[in-house]
Amino acid sequence: MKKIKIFYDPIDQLPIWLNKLAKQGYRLKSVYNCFYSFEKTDVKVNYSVQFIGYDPNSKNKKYIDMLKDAGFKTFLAPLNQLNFVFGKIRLRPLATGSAKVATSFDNYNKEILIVESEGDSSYELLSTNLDKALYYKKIRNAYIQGLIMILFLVGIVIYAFYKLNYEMNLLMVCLLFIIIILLIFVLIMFIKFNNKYQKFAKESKFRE
Amino acid sequence: MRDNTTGGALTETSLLILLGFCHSNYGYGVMQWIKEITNGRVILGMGTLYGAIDWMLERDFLKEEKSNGRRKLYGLTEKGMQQIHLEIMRLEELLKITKDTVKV
Repeated sequence: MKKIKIFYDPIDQLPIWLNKLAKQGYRLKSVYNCFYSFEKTDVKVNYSVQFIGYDPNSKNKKYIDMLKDAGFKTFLAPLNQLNFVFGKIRLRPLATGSAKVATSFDNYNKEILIVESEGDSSYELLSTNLDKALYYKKIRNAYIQGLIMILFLVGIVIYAFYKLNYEMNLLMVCLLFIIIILLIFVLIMFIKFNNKYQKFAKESKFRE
Repeated sequence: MRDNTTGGALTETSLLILLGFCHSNYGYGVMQWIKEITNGRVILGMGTLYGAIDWMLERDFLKEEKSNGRRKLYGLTEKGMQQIHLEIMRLEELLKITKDTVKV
């Protein structure tokens, strides 16, 4: 079975969708961008998802090797949101350090790690409150970077508006509409991950 | 000696992981050992385990021993063993305080 699926928030939505299909007896076979291939199975499987885009490739490779060694099946999927393409260099706001700029197809479009485990119960990749807090903090901070990028776009639009002697045209209206939609989306995601971070950070002070 | 702010005390998960490497072991081996020794109470996430191994390697509590293909074996260093002894003293003191307070 093949499916095409696009998520606005793959970090949260992808595992729910995969586990729903797994309950119907479909096991993930391969992922290519938004194309998912499944096979029918009698084996009970569960899916967990982790955003790994902020870490360098070498670190992610070691992590994936450890997962494979432990018998988990892994897949890599893209995080399509917030990917801005400038020629051959792609900026990934959800990354840190050297991973922030993806210059080859080796480390681009592989920001979401999907881990398949066998069994009835779901498997958590991060099992302590502190790990979860730090994980959501990184994602929350990444959306702040996204916000800065959008504000930069706003600056460009205002400058263009000034150059056009403040005359509104169709292109300007479209640009403003896209920017407002992007701004609302990034703000919602920021609030969502900030709430998750706050929740686990508070809990981690007293409980593992 | 104050140890809560200077990084002396390990969390339960970190201590269990460190103990899991008393004999050369690999990540999944430690995960299974912890599950077994705690009767399934502590089930470690692989992300948590990987982060802990990375942290312990940085602080010289663990050393990489050899690689069997993709599988990496790690062992405890002298510093790692010292940390375990510090934890024993701390936990014994904490247990004594707890028992004395509630008069068990």
